[in-house]
Amino acid sequence: MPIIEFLDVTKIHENPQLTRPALSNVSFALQPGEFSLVMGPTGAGKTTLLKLLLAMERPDTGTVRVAGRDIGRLKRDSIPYLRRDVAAVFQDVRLLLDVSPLDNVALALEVLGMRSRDVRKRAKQSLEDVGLPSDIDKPVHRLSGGERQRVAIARAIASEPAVILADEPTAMLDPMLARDILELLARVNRRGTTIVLATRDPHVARNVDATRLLMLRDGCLDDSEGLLGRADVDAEDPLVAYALDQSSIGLPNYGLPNYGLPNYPVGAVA
Amino acid sequence: MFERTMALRYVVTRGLRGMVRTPLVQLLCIGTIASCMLLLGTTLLVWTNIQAMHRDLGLDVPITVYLASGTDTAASAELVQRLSRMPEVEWVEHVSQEAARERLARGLGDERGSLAELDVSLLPETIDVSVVPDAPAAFVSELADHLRGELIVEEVADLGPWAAQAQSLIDALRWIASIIAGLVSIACTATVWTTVRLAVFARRDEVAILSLLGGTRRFVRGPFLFEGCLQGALGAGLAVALLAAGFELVRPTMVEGLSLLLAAGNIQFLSTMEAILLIIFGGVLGVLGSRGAVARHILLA
Repeated sequence: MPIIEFLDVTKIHENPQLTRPALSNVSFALQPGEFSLVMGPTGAGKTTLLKLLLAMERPDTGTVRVAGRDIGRLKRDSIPYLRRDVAAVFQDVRLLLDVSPLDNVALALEVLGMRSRDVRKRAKQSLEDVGLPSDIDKPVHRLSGGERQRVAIARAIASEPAVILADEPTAMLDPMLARDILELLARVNRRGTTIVLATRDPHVARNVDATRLLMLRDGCLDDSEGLLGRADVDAEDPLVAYALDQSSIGLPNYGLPNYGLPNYPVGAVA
Repeated sequence: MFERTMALRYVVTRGLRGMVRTPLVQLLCIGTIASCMLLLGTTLLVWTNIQAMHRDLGLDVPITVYLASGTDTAASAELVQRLSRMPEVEWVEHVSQEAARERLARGLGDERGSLAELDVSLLPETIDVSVVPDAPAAFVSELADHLRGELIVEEVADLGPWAAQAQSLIDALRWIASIIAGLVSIACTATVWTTVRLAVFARRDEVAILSLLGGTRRFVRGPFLFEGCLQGALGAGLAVALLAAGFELVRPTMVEGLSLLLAAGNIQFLSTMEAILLIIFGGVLGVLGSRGAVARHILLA
């Protein structure tokens, strides 16, 4: 059973300046444990797709199912419970800057109503899992960009969600740090967590061992064959070039350079 | 159940932490609420004392029927029943000699010890009669004249227009207290609303993060509601404390100056229950104010 399913989903934003839907007739399904890459230029609909997955928006038509829940019919009071199964990592990290990394990670566990001592124990473990010392006591605003992103990932994995959504998590990092973060996400994925990584950067795509590529363009889900058949395609566009490089859409492992990451089967525990 | 307990613990600690972060704002808020509640408390204090004075002086009883010595119990009970059946009569109370002594002791307050040697048989047995507010003006004097003709009645005291005037004063004070309570409620609610709104703006990142992490509506809003409740209760508590201190300061002067007017010279502070109710009232106003602010300014996606 897919953990994420889009069935003919269209989303129109109420903005008179937009002449097209943010997402138009998008359909795809992700199985548990997949590492999916959502690619597309700015305005392609990547963030809208992630917002639908987090129930921050509802589809206008079609069906979005996440972890067995129909987002279109989800009651307001049920949204928090969905978000305990679907964690998010953002480009701007969205951490509490004036408290320690431990307190930030602990917050995700306090929300679940865990005991204080269990909260501290698991928050420390999560920080160690992402390669940060658990006793780091300086506030987040004094950490580097890479460290902050690690804290955000630690917070996301602490509650052991079924899915982690990552929206441009490496956009503000230098290439070395970006590679570290991607490696970290790959490691989390190997534990069985489904990852949906949205990016507009083909270099990011080349650094992950994704099992699925979702290519968004003007709100539509494209495939390489579709791109080839279109007259308006710019073959020099790095995103287009990347998509055309792939053998086909929707097949696992594109033969991307692995940068030393062991190629575990999807869903295996690291 | 366990999750709820943990959530409650989170709400309290997060609410307190939020308050500690902005001490000046909290002080201003609690001080403003205390000022408003002080006004309400003072009005309440004046009203309860005037009401007590009204009662102690017997102004709520326009007709007092003094029964002849040695009156048969059955005869007095029959008279009480006849009076109770009159539509213009609000209530009738038979006051025995023991009850009269108790009433006298209560009115004397601190001086009640002087009654220790009093022979209770010297006190008269009476029937107090109170009339409904919309009774005809002539009813009291007509009823008094009628009662003077009863065999078991020795004398009838009729307060006449005094009672009506005293009742008018009480009614006016009740209205004033109600208006002040209304205004104070609005002022306290608005104060908490504004303070909590500021807190929501200051912690909007935290609110957004909690919402993304799966914090329920109660979990996200709870700390702000707790904060509002605490501000209201602390403000009211401070007002009660200031009122008590002020009361103790002016009490000797009041007792000395008004002893003749008060007849009994006994003025009282709010009862413990009234003080607790005032603090609870402050807390409720705080919850209302903070609830309004979070409903308006915390919009969870």
